[in-house]
Amino acid sequence: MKLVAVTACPTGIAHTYMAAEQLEKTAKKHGHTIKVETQGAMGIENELSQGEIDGAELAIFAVGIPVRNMERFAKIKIVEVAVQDAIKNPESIFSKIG
Amino acid sequence: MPKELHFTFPLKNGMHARPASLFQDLANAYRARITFVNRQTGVTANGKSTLSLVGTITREGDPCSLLIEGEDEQAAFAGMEKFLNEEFPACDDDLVVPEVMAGAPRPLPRALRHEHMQFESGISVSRGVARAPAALVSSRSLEPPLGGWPKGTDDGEVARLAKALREVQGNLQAQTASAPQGVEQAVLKAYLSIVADPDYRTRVEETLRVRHCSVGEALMETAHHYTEILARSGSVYLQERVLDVRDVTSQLVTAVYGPAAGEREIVLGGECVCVAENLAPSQFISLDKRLVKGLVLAHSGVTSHTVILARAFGIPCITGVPDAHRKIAAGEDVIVDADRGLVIHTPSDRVARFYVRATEKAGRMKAKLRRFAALPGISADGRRLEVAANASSCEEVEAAFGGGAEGIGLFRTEILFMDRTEPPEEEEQFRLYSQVAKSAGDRSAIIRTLDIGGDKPIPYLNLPSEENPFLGYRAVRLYDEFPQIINAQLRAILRASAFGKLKIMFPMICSLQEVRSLKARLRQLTGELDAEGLSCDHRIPIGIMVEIPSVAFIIDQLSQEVDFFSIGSNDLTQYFLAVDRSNPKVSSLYTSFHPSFLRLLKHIVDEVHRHGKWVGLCGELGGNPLAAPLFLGCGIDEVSLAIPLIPAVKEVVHSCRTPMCEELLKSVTQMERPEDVEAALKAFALSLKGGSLISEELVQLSSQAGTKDEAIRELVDLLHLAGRVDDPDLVEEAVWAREETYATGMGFGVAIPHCKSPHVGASSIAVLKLEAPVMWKMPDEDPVEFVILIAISASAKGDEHLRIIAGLARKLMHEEFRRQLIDAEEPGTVASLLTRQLAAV
Repeated sequence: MKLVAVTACPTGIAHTYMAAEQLEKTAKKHGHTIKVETQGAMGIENELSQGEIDGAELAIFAVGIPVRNMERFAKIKIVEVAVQDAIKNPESIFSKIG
Repeated sequence: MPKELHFTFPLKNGMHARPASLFQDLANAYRARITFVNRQTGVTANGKSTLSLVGTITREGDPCSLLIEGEDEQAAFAGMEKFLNEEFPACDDDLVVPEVMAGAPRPLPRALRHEHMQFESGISVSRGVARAPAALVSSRSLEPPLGGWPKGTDDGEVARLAKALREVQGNLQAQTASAPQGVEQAVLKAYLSIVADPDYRTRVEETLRVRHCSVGEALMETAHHYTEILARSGSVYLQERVLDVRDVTSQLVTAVYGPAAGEREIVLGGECVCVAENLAPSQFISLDKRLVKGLVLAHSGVTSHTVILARAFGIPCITGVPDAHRKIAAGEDVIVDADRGLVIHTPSDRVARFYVRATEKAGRMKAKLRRFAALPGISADGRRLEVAANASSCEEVEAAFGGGAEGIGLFRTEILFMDRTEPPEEEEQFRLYSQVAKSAGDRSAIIRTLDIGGDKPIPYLNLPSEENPFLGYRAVRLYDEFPQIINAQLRAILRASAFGKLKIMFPMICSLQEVRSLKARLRQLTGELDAEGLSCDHRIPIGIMVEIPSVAFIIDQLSQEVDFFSIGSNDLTQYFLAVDRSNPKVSSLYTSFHPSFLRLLKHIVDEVHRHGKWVGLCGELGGNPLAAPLFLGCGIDEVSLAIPLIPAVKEVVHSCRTPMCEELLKSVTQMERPEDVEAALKAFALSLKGGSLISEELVQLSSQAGTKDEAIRELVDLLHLAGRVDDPDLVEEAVWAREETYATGMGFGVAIPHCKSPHVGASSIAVLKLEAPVMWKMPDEDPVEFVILIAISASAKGDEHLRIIAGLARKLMHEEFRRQLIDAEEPGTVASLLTRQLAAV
């Protein structure tokens, strides 16, 4: 499956990146392709283009704050989880996706 | 016709006992009648009476004048004028009001806030923490006994007064003689001047004879008279002087009648925290200070002498604790936290543990400073920079060597010549200088000859007032007019040189001729000593101060005559930039960080070394840790500074490498503004501390922390000990603010608390491995046993640090990396694992 994701936590210093790492690691394990955009203290990195979003089947938001540039995701199905869940239990997210 | 002298009263705290006693000291040196007039209030006073002067309630800015009349009025006028212009305005400086922790009350540290402890709050006036049983000390009462004091004939009562005055005066003199220099002595001297005050005595005697009352009543009424005046003053500082008058009065009453019923001599049974409604300074002085671990007062102003004394003795003290003497029971176990203004009743185990850990940390902090103090002055790449101390008494010389000084780079002799009516004799000076030589042992001590001029009034020199004393008749320029005085000093130094490694240094040299003439004088005196059979070091090194810019350009010539140079950076800066630093209109131009001045410094050092001589620096610049890299950069041989600054300067010297310092000096001398230089020096200092995000000293692998509170506190303390944060309480608060958004436990037994704070100097990572895991957030979550604190400086530029932390955070998601970290047995392994990881980001 082709996935996109956004991670963002309130301070954007650490958890944003931990969640991103877990999503990338676990997605690969399950044979998915994923691109994860981080919205942290360094701003938006690894930014998702409209084309990338439109070409994906599902967006995962692992966030504790509102996602910036939300209008990009108007047409895609979104699964939202807490940042902590993405870090501690990424498997459960992917088992839901199937 | 009296001579009249007008002036504006200069002292911030008004005319109180200490400046008044200094004033009357000088006034009493003249026979002329000296009357002090406060033209604001119209009150006049006898200038030779401390209390009379205090009673004028003179405040800063009041227009005043002195009326001087009598046989030596000319000299008195000149002396008083000079005193008022030059010495008086600064006489209250070193004993100023203790700094009171200002601003909004700070929140309690987390670890304490989570405890429901009982405590009292007050104002911290002397920092520190102590735990001991409380001892209640009753305040001295001035109330007469029931039925009043017994009374004899008027003459009998006058005689009893005279006897009491003599007795108290004798006691005070004895105490003054044995008191250490400093605050205790100044307080005792101020008291002494009240007891010896002619106006005070006259007032008590008059009261006795007019009212036919007892001495006790007359003393009370006199005290009442003065305290009324002070209480009306409208100045908090002067109102608090009431305590001094009451204290002296109660000593006199006790001398006449013995201690009041119920008032016993205070005997402390052991270590204790003294709690009192109020404690008179004389009561404090009589306590065994070794047993007093802390002091809690219900009311004693923040500027009372008791408080000033507590600070001088380093005893933690809190004042303004309402009803302290009623709320705290005798024998009760209390903790005085004078860093936060708390007195804690019967602390729980957790609270006690917090303070034990805080005390351990304070001990480590002190040990760290001691460690730096004990290091030799050598840079990281082995370049020698001798770190010496400035001193002006034997006590300071002892303290200097205890505090890590490698020599005495400047021993000032002026104090010996001040506040007296005759110059000190050769013998007195010989005793002092030989003591200095003996204390120094095989280390060298540079004795600077008399450096005095029109800015310091010395009655027996009778120097004329000058428009500009700093450009006038001072230091070596006086020596030819006062040959006895300078010869006595030089003979004393020469004789003392037989007992150690002394060097002679002459101040305010501007020409070669001056040096030659002084050397001729030394040769003549050495010859005399030889003839008298007195020994001295015939090869005593002779040096000069570099204060006058002219010297910088004749170093080739001077090097033919002298053995060493010492840069007096304060005067050299002011002469070089033509800025009078005491003039507020231009003082902002005064800075030793002026690029031109730093070029001059480099020129001087290069010139001296080119001619094979030794050069040091002994001004304020020497004690500024920011400047230390510049000293290594220019290759100066020695730097001499105030004792408490030695550890900080040595720490910098130790962490610097010479090529970096040379580079730094080169770049700052090319800058355009002193502000840029200072900013560059600050950045350099920070880079010394924070070259890497983590180091071994930031890793603790066997932490005893028993809770999340304690773990976070310990991590912040590790950063504080390493000099990476300046206010641990506020950094701790920032970490907790983050925790409250959501806890930073990340599973796998690892937590990564973090914060960004202006109190973090250099961004850092600290690591704690707990002996027993603690709960991080929910009881059902995995307990945490490995904690990584990431502290980011608010001033961190760019996002390099953020990038590094993001990289670390990602890496921690990989089990192999976590295992390596958690299983590491040495702090060094953890530090290098993290460093390697961070470098790869």
